Amino acid sequence: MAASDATREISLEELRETMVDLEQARRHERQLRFESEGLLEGLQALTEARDTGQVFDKLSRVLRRFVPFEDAFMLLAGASGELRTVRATAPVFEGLHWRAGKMLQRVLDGQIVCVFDLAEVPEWQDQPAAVRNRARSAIHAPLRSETLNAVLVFVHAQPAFFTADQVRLLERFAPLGNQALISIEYRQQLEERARELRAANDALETSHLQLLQSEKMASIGQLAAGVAHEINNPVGFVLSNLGSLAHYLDDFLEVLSAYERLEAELPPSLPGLSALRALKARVDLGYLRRDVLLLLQESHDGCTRVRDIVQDLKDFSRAGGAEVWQAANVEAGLDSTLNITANELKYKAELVKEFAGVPDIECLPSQLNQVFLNLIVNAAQAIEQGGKVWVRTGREGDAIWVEVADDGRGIPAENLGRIFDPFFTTKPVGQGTGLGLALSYGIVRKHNGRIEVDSKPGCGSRFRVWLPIRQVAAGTEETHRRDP
Amino acid sequence: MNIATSWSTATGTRAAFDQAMTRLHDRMGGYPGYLLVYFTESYPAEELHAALAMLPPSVKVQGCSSCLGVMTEEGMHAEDGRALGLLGIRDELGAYGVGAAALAGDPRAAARAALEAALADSGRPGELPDIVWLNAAPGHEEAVLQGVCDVVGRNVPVLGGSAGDNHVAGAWRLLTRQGAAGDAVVVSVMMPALHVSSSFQSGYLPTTSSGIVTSATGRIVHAIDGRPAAAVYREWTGSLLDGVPAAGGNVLSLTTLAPLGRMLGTLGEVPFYTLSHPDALLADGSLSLFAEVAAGEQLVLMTGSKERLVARAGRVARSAIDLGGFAAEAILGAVVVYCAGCMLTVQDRLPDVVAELNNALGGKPFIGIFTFGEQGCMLDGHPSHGNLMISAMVFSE
Ligand SMILES: Nc1ncnc2c1ncn2[C@@H]1O[C@H](COP(=O)(O)OP(=O)(O)OP(=O)(O)O)[C@@H](O)[C@H]1O
Ligand SMILES: [Mg+2]
Repeated sequence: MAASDATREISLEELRETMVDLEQARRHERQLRFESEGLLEGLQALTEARDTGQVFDKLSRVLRRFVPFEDAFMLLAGASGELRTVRATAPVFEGLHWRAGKMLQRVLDGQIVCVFDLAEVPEWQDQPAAVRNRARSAIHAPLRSETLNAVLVFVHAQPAFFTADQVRLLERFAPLGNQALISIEYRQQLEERARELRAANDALETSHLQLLQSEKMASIGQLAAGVAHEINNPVGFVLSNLGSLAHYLDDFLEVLSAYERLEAELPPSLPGLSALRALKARVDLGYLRRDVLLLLQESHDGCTRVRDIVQDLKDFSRAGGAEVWQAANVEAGLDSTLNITANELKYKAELVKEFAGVPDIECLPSQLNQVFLNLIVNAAQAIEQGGKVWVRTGREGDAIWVEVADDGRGIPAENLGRIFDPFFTTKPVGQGTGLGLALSYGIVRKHNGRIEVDSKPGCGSRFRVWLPIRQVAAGTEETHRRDP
Repeated sequence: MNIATSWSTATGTRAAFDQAMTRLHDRMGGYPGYLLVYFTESYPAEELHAALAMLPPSVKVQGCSSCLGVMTEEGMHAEDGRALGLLGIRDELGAYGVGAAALAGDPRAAARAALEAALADSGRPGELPDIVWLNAAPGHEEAVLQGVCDVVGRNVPVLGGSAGDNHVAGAWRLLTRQGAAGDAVVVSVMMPALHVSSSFQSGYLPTTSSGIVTSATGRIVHAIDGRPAAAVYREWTGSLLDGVPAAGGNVLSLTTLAPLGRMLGTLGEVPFYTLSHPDALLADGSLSLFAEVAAGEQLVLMTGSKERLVARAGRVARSAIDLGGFAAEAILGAVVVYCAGCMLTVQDRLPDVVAELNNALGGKPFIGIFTFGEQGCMLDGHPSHGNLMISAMVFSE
């Protein structure tokens, strides 16, 4: 072999080696690029996720292109040290419980574990046959943040399916993924804070409105009290005058009877007697005699009603001074409330009153009356016409209840959770403010009671207010204020 | 987490082992969790096995005999064909397992059993190892690799070298804490907490001499293009085998630079080959190789240079480092497999081979062994058996 030949051959051989190196580098490069693409897509998916469920969904969709698993699921570590499947691509993997054996413990500690034969792993031996048949090999990858300790599991029905390259991709992805997760949580925390602020704001708003409402009530109360006073006086003397009038009338009638007896004994020829008889016949004295008593009775009744309503109005709003806790009877309160609402009800519904004769309870009576008023008005408004409204009371142990039921339109299930929200109303603008139940709720809570609702669209609704007979820590305003 | 090596050429197996072990213990600051023991046949494996009893039970051991010497970062070690080298790994967070089985006529089943034992020994049953490290008696490596793939699939990096002896006389030995044997396979699974990367390469150029195998059994080629294979090979290689008697004989040390290649695929336009190393011309006119061939396959005479053999080990180590993306300062150590045939060819230049390796690995500890067959993943990514190969397995933080 000539020397120049040898040199050429040496360099050719080296060239071939270099080519192999290059090819290997090229493949490696391609793999890395492929991986980076996966990383990028995975990260993007992560940043779009709003919660861990979405993290799983989006991540598994993206990663499937790079780690071609058949199924995937996510395990969440519980406080007991046990894990459970919280999300899966197939139902057979859902709801499984896993003990954190040695393998899973390593994953929880941050390591990616690739298993080529799941039949060998104790954690998997615990699982039902349906699961083991569907998963013969798996990659377990940790997904960790400040609050989350989860494991992503990618499975395949073929043993030894996953490769070291795929593990490496996940290894590269893990720190970025966890970082992304932490920032999602951070964002969630921010949103949570914002929500809290908004809620605090809303609460302020509500209490402001409550204040407005009670001011409104107070001024209505004052007005009512003023008007009531103005009415009460004339009605008072009209009533007492009517009383006197009745006495006088009795006297008049007695005198009249005496005259009539005398008249019967007078000679018919007595001058003027025929004119008197003609006058009696013209005015139909017999009728007048009967009717005047009736009229007087009716006037008296009417005036009594006016007096009662005015009294109720006064009771209801209890204008002026802060109300004090006192023993009161809710049935009496209901009666006066029904008096006020009688008009609203009478054209639409028949009222059925079933009072059990409950004992007095410790309460703020006029506030409870507001609750009853709203329930009764709501019931009336739920009825188109020809309906029925039941107002019942009852006692069970240390508590009494007041129930207002109607056979009106009912409340759709999707609204049931919202009717106590301030401003929730289905009534036309101007008719409802959506505050009635919200305020009622607050008042009932203040009484350490509760409101139950039962409603069926198309059939009617039943609101039952439970109230303790005695307030536990008796009587001071302070103790009752602890509820919002 | 650290890696260290040590060596000895002391006379007496026990003395050599004690000397090397003491040095390793000092360098590591304690016993390793995983220990590789490579030795020449001058140190009987049975005696080494007895010496292993002094180690704490937690130390896992794999080893085999190497042809004529061992290399470490401190040089090529061989004194009258006597050398012992140790490489220890301390990696408390990783897991290592060793298994062994007698080939006993069914190398594939033996490899399966050994690998299963190693997986069980690792304490992480069912888990995919980062790397499978294999030493087996030469002769059945294809079947051994199949057995490995039966268990863990074809996607795991497998690296290994077949045990060698000093005179190609069947004196090779395999070693674990369970015992020493000639006809066996030993295998480790590694799931290190550190990173590992490997590369498996050869060089060589095709010549214009080639033919189709017309008759072959296993590793014996009877005929090429219908003519006795030994004669064809003599023809192709010109005067190379003139000294070999007509009745045949061992040619291993002569044919290192003239192996036979089988085309495996192409890199772009250029074909690339796996190599079979002819080790003997047989009396019946057939040719014995160190790897299996089948009738119908094309064999191409390859040619290589001593210069490349010297440079290649360093190059392979560098390739492993590049593939792993390792930073020079993070490298902890390496295990290098160097074909014994190549070693015989470059014998006088072995210090240069060591220098190339030190250069590539930045002077970090390594152990190099001389083997009668090499296993690793070719460009297709699947484990295969080759001849005249060099591989490196590099560990990094
Ligand atoms: N008995 C009922 N039947 C059907 N729907 C009812 C009944 N009671 C309450 N609701 C529903 O709950 C909503 C909220 O009631 P709430 O009393 O809080 O407010 P409102 O009656 O709409 O307005 P407001 O009471 O302030 O005038 C009502 O708009 C209605 O949709
Ligand atoms: Mg209302």
